[in-house]
Amino acid sequence: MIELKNISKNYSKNRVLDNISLSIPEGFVTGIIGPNGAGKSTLIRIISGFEFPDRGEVRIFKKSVNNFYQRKQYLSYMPETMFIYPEYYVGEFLDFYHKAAGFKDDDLIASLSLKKVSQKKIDHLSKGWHQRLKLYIALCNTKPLIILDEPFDGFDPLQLKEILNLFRSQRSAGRSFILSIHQLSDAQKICDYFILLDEGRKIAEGTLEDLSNRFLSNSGSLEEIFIKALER
Amino acid sequence: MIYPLILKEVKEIFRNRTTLIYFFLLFAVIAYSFYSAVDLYSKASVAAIGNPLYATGFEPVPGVFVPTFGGLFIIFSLIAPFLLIRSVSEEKKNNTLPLLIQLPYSLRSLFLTKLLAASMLILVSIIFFIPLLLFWNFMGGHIPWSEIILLMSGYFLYGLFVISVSFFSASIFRSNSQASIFSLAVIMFSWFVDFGKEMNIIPMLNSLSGWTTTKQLKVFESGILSINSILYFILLSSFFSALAYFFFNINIRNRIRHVITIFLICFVLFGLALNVQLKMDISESRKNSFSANETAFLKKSPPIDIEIYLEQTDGRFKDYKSDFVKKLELIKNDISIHFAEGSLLSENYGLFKYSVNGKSSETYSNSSHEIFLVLEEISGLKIERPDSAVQFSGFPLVIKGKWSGYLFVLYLFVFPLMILFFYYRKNFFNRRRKNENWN
Repeated sequence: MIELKNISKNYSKNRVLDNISLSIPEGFVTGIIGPNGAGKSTLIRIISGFEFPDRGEVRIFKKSVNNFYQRKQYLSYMPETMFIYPEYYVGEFLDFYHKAAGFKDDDLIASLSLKKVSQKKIDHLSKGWHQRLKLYIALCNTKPLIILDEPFDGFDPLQLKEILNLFRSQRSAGRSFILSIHQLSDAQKICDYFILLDEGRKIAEGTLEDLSNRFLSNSGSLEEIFIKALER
Repeated sequence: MIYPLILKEVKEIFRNRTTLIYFFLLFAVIAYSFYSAVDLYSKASVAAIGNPLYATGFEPVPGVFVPTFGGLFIIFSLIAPFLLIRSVSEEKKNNTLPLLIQLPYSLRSLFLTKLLAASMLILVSIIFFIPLLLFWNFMGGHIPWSEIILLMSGYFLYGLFVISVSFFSASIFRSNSQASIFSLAVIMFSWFVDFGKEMNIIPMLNSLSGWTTTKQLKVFESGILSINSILYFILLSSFFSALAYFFFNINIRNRIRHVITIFLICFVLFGLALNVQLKMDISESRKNSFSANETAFLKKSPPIDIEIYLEQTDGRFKDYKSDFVKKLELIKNDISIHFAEGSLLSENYGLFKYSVNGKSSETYSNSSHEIFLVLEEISGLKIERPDSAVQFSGFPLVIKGKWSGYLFVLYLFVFPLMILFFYYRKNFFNRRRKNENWN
C-alpha cells in the first residue's frame, strides 16, 4: 500500500530520519513505534505529505505522489499537536465540519458519544474528549487510509478499551491505519504490523510473530522485543 | 461548499473580544474627530459669511472629512493589525491547517477567504462613517459625493495594505507579539520616511517619500483620482499577500525561489505602474487644477523643461510644488524637472529656468501668474483672457444648537450597545439554540 524508499530528513544539522526504506501493507493497523525523538511524527508527516523528505520517494497505492494535495484522496491525517478551535462549542464545530465536508457519520458520533459534550466549549474539554473529537474528524470520511499521530494520549483504560473496539470495527470495514504510538502496551493491543524506529533509523519491521522470531527465542511482549532490538 | 468556510472566517474575526474593543475605540475616535473638525469648521466659517473670497477656502472634505478619517488612519495602522494577525497566527498556533485542507478546500481558497473576511472588517469600519454624512447633511452641510467616495476608496485600499502586512507578519513569525511588532514597523515605515524627509535627516529618504503609503493616501484626500495611486496600493497589497501565502503554505518546496519570483514580478509591475500617468481632479473646487484656459494652453504647449535652483527642503520649493508642479503634472506627462547642484545652485539660488522648443527664460517668482507669462513668451502661445471659468464659492457653515450630544449618544452608546447585542446574540443565544439541536 505504502512504500518508502531511502527517506532522509534533516532539521538544520540534525538528522531526524536516516535512509528509511519500508513497505506498509494494506488492511493492517500499522504501528510506528519508538521512544521520544525517534522520528515517528516526522515519518508520519512525510507519509501524509505534510512534510517533504530531503531525499527519497514515497509511493502510495503504487503511485509516486509528491505532496498532500495528491495524497488527499487516499488518506486522512490527524497530527498530535492539533488543537481544534477552542472558541467553538463541540456541536457548533461539528455543524461547520459536516457542512464543509458534505459528510456526516451519525453512527460514529454515537460510538464516540460526542453528543454528551456537544454543548461544551472545545476549550473546556478534557484531553480524552478532545482526542475523541479529533478521532471523529479523522474517521468521518470514506478514505481508505487513516494516519494518526499519538491517537491514544489522554485516554483512561476504560475509554481506551472503547476506542480500541472502534478501531477494530473500522478495520474490519476495510480501512488501513498507520499509528504513531510511544506506549508499547497500547500498540500491542491494537496493531498487527510494527515499524520500530530509534534515533531516526529503522530497527525492524514486521508482525509481532516475525519480530518475536527474529529477536526472541520464544514469543514475548512488544516491549521485550523492542528492548532486544535496541540492544542489537 | 465555500460558504461554511467564509462564515467561519467572518465569525473568527467578528466574534472576537478584541474586535469589540476595536469597535469601541473606533466609535470614540470617529465621534471625537468629527466633533473637533466640525466645531473648528463652524467657528472658522463665522468670518467667511459675507466674505466671498475667504469663503472659497471652505470645503467639507479637507475641512471636516479628511480630519475625521485621520482617526480611522490611526485605528487601521495601530489597532487593526492586532486583530488581523490572529486570523492567521491562531491557525498556525493550533495547527488546524491540516484539518482545513483535508476538507474540500485548497490552501489558496482558504487564504483568499481569510483575506475576504478581513476586508469585511475594513469595510464595516468605513461604513460606520456613513451616519456622519447624514449628521453633516442634517446640519445643512454640503456633501461632495465624488470626493467622499474617493476618500473612502483610498482608506479601503489602505486597509487592504494593512491586512496584507498583518497576514505577512503572522505567516513569518510564530508568536503574535513578534508579528504585531513587525507589522507595526512595516506600516509605520511610511511615517518614519515622512518625518525623515521633513527634518531632512537622510537625503535618500527624499526620493522614497513620494512612494510612502501616507503620501499616496494624501492623493485620495486631495480629491485626485489617480490610477497610479490605486495601482500602488493594489500592487503593494498583492506583494505582501503573495509573500504571506507562500510562507503560510505548509505544502510548498523551495520557498526562497517563490519569494524571489514574487519580488521580480512585483518589481516589473511597479515599474509598469509608474508609467501609468492617469490622474483626474474630481474636487468640486478644482483646487488641483489650473483654470480652463490655462489648462488648454498647457495642453497645446510643447514639452517643458524646468531647471530649479532651490534646495528641495526650501519652503519656496514646497509652495512651488504644491501650487504649480502638482497641477502641471495632472495635465502634462512631458515635463522634465532638474535640480541644479554645486556652484551653479549657490550662484543662482532661487531661480526657475524654463525651456520650451529650445527657447529659455527665467524667473525668480514661484507664482503661477508669473510663470504663465514666462511660458507664453517662450512657447509663442497665448492664454485666452479673461478666463470664463465659474469661481468656486465655498461652503462655509456656521452650526447653531447642540448637535454634539446626539453624535456622542449615537457613537458612544447606541452603536457600542448594538455591537454588544450582536456579539452576545451570535456568541451566546445562537450557539445555545444550535447546540440544543444536538440533544
